[in-house]
Amino acid sequence: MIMTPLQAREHVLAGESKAVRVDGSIDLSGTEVKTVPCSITCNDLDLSGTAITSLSSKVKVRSRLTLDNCKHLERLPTGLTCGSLSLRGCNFLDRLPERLNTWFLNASECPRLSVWPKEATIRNGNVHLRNCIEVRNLPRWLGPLGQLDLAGCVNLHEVPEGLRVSGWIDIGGSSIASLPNSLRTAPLRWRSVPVTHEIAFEPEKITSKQVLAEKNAELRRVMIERMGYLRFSEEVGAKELDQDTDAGGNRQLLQIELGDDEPLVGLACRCPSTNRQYFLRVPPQMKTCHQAAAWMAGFDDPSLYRPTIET
Amino acid sequence: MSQFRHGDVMVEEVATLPDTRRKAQHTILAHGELTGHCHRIAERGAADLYDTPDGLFLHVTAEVATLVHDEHDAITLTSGFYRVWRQREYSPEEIRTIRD
Repeated sequence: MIMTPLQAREHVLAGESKAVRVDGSIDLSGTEVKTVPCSITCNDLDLSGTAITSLSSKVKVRSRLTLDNCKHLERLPTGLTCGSLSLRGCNFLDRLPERLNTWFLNASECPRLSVWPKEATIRNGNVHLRNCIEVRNLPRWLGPLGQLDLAGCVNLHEVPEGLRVSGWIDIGGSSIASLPNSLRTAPLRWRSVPVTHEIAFEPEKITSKQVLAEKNAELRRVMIERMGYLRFSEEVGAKELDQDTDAGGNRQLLQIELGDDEPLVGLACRCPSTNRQYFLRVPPQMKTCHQAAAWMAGFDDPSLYRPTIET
Repeated sequence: MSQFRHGDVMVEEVATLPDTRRKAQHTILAHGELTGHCHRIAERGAADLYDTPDGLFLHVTAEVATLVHDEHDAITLTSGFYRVWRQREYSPEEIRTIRD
């Protein structure tokens, strides 16, 4: 049955089972829908923020399928084909379906995503996997691509040889320490900031003098992060805002002025088990070591942070 | 409610588990990707780990379960429910979790 987008929306919300064809976009975002009970053919389908757990293979989307923030979504159908697939913030999704076929994929902020299909096609467009902390490898069938965002893929150590990216590749905060020959000349980004290969892969060569001479505040932040807050604070000399004692011994809240940028404030402390020293950056308005430690632990109200054991 | 800090992993006792949850097939609370070590429950069958829309939760089903890591001293958790999360680190552009 051919319907208008609005009729199709009401049809799905009413739980009707009759097949629907729409020459346009169906927007079900933010609704209470838990399942798509009927066959649907449409250009775009937006199910963002709904409580669906799986998607039927009877749903055929020609252009854009959006499933952002579907916190309960666990399964996508085998052979899913669409121009663009957006899965941002799907907490439970741990795999992409076999024979997936799309040009653009945004699976950023999917903390469980780890299993790639054996066979699939994702090529010519952009692939965004920002903060996919369980992604441990990229499949050999991937690409060629326009852009590849791997920022925050902390468990990803390498990119397969032969992968081609015509635009940029973002490796900020990933564990990638070098790129294959096929990407040797690709423009690099570090969490969206364009960086040189030296800043990305040879951070030990960065000096505090270079950092302080850099006029671009965003690039300067990346350079400090790459050389390490501890080394930077030691080289430039930091002002002590507070000091106290925790399970790891003495700790200090330190501040470094950065001219036109907000000051760098961090807690210098030791791990009680390894005695290793850390300098952990905190919001610049922090005034005490305890407030900073509480913020790091996820508490905006320092009085709520009362660890009974720290190891 | 008791709070524990195990390296960069925080554990806090809670009254109940979230209604929506999926039982994990393991009891690894967190991987330390730089060191290769993980924060895990030492005993088999002493606890269940759950994925929920509100993050990770642990149910210690035995009288006690031991939270271990190769580099951090062990912490003993008694029977009950716990929320598990990682510390955060400030970045002027975005806030992200940190991992040891």
